[in-house]
Amino acid sequence: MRSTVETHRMSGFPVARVTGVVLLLLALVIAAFLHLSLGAKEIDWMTVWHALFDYNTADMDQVIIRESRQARLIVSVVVGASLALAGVMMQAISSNPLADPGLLGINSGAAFFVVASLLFFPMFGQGYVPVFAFLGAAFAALLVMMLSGWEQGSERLVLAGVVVTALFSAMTAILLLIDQQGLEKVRHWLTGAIGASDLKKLHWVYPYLICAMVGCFALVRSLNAFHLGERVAASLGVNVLLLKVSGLALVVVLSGCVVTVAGPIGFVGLVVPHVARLLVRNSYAWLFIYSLLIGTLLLILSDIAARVVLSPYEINTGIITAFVGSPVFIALVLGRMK
Amino acid sequence: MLVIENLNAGYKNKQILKNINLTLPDGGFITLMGANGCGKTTLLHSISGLLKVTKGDVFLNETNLLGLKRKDVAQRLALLPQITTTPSGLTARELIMQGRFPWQNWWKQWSDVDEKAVNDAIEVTNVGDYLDLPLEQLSGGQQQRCWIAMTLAQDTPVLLLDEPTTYLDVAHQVELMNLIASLKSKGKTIIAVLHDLNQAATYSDYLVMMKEGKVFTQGKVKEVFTKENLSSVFGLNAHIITDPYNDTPIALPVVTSPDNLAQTTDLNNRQQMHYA
Repeated sequence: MRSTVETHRMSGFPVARVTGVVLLLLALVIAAFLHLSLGAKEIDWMTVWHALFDYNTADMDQVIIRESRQARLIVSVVVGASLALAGVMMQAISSNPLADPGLLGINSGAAFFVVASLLFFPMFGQGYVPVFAFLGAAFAALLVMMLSGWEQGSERLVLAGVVVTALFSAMTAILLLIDQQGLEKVRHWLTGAIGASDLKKLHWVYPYLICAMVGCFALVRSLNAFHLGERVAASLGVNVLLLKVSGLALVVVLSGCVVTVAGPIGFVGLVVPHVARLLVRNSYAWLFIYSLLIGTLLLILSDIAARVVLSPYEINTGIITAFVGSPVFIALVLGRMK
Repeated sequence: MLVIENLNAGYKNKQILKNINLTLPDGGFITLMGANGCGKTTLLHSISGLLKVTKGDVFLNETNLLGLKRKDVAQRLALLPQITTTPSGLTARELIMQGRFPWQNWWKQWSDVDEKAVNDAIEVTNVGDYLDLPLEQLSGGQQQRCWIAMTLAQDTPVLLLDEPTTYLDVAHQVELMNLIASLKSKGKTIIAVLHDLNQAATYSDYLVMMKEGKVFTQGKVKEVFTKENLSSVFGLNAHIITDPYNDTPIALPVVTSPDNLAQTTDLNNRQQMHYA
């Protein structure tokens, strides 16, 4: 018999996890410098440095960095972070590792509403674009939920998502046919393109984005309990319905913001949480932090690839993320079937 | 004391619980019994607020639980539902720590009280040896001990356990039942749904027999665990004898008489011959 009662320390300083965050931040800084220096024209690191910290408008290279690439970088960072958080949240509240705002039609719903609003309600100013994106994202989310019946971890959810995505993409295509010229610039946006001009759109959405990101972290405790199963969470005192509804609302806002800024970019929300889960398994606070950093990193690297692979031509960033993401999706599906 | 008054509950169009009235004493082991679908689980879920009741009240020491917030209920009463899936990526320790959820919030995270409650739960359930192992690597019995530890960490006077021994092999079932019965000495009131009649009779102080959404009968084990009641509630024909070691009643199902048995064997043989 043990005579003394062992006590078990429950918490300590998470050295490994903090180290991981520092390393990821380091990788982010390097990726950011690469992003600024690579492109149609390669610019050396010293010039990048000067452009950032000792700006000289007479130097054309520095102007490229400040006026064009820096804007793209900022947009990539915000888009990557938002998509990753939306992905973690979507997978958490649906208990489905295949859930992703792109796959579930939330992005295409937002895109359809934005295109429709540009066509039918041109009198609304551009400031209303995010509002229409939210409406579309919410509509698509509700449609998917109705079709799939909220079943936990079910394949029906993904199937419903595929159907809703197809529906909204088809309707968007019809709108584009109706107004060939007027919507020409929309076409580019619809494939998930990041451009320097998107920085302006970021100003429309950043208040919503900040609120949604804070909201994600506010739900961390409940999400941790929810991970034990719906009934256990409820018996621990979690209001499960409220958690699901607010989680979904956050996904809608995050996705709507991203669609407003950069169009529907897919697969980031699917892939990033899985990578993050390899590094931190269990705590949603860390999962959010890691996903945020990894999502940002993925988007910066994708945006570099988008500009370098077929240089001097540019591919849309959304196409790169699809190239990275679809094999991961297939691997996940195969892994589930085993 | 847990008092249930005129409780009605159900799902969508189907009423399951019909006018349940119960007064359950403190500090005992109470078992809900009944055939499948009689509403035992529904009753546990209604008491703990997982299911909205259509009518009625649940009082715990004169506080109406149904009027409380979810978290406030969870501070008074812990429910361990039937666990069907193991949460991925969690260690035993992390699972048990979740039991402190109802006592924490954003500005009051991990306190000494939490630390003590979790340590006590670990000691009582004796799971200290595998605290840092992932749940997936533990046996069913070990996992169930961890779930019980989590429920204990919740530090409530009342524990509701929904078939805690299902899916375990016999030795682990007995071990777990001994553990659960030992919680009485910590002053806990245990309300459990058990499938095994003899387990229920051996470990409980008080039995509630349910039939078709109503309380059929209730009382001390020896008074209620009778041939007549088992027949009415379960449709089971059984002899009742007394366990010479525990002095508790035991049900021995009546086996068809040797004549009938012979006839059945005969029939089987004939059928087999027919097929041959």
